[in-house]
Amino acid sequence: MDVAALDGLVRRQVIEPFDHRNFNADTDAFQDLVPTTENVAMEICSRLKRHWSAAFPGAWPKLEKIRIAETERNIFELRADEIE
Amino acid sequence: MDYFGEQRSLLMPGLAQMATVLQVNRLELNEMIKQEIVKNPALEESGDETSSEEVLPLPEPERGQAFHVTRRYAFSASHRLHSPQLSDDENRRVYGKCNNPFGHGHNYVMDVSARGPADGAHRPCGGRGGARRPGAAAGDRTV
Repeated sequence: MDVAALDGLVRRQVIEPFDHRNFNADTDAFQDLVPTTENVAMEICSRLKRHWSAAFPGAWPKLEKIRIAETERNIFELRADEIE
Repeated sequence: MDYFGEQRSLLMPGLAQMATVLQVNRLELNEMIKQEIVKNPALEESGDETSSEEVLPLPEPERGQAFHVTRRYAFSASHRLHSPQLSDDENRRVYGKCNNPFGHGHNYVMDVSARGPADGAHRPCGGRGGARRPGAAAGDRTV
């Protein structure tokens, strides 16, 4: 897998919009949605899915899932084919 | 950039061809094979129903075994769990201390998993033709 392509995608779609931000105040996605980590995972997964083909124009690789740990004990996993 | 120059020089012709061939669909592959036959008189088509495996027998490690690849990222952000559809009391009851008006933060750790054939390209470590990590230990494999 082209790791650089994945890094670029994650940087643009996740790190730049969300790192060192306040989900409630700083991000459009959570103006009407409570930013629980479940909802954050849905938003991130849908962003990656939406922009995947721009980063990976070929048939492979396919986005499979994301897994977000909010703390060491609270971990949320989401399969890409189970959301829009 | 130097980076691309180095990557290209490490891709052997067979591997580079495989990387191209793996990306095209069946129609494009047929077209590509026809063009190769026209360009190279030494080639001939053995039959109409040749699968891509028969056309291009790949050496064992380069056949594109499917992998699940996971890469880890970290970011920090703050939030307050508060629903405008609920009263303040209900918010406190549902979200507990996560409803406190000043919010709180997390150091999120996110794993992104993808699946696809091994392409041997662009691996920071381990794969063929990967860039070496700066300051890699002396015992690491030198490409």
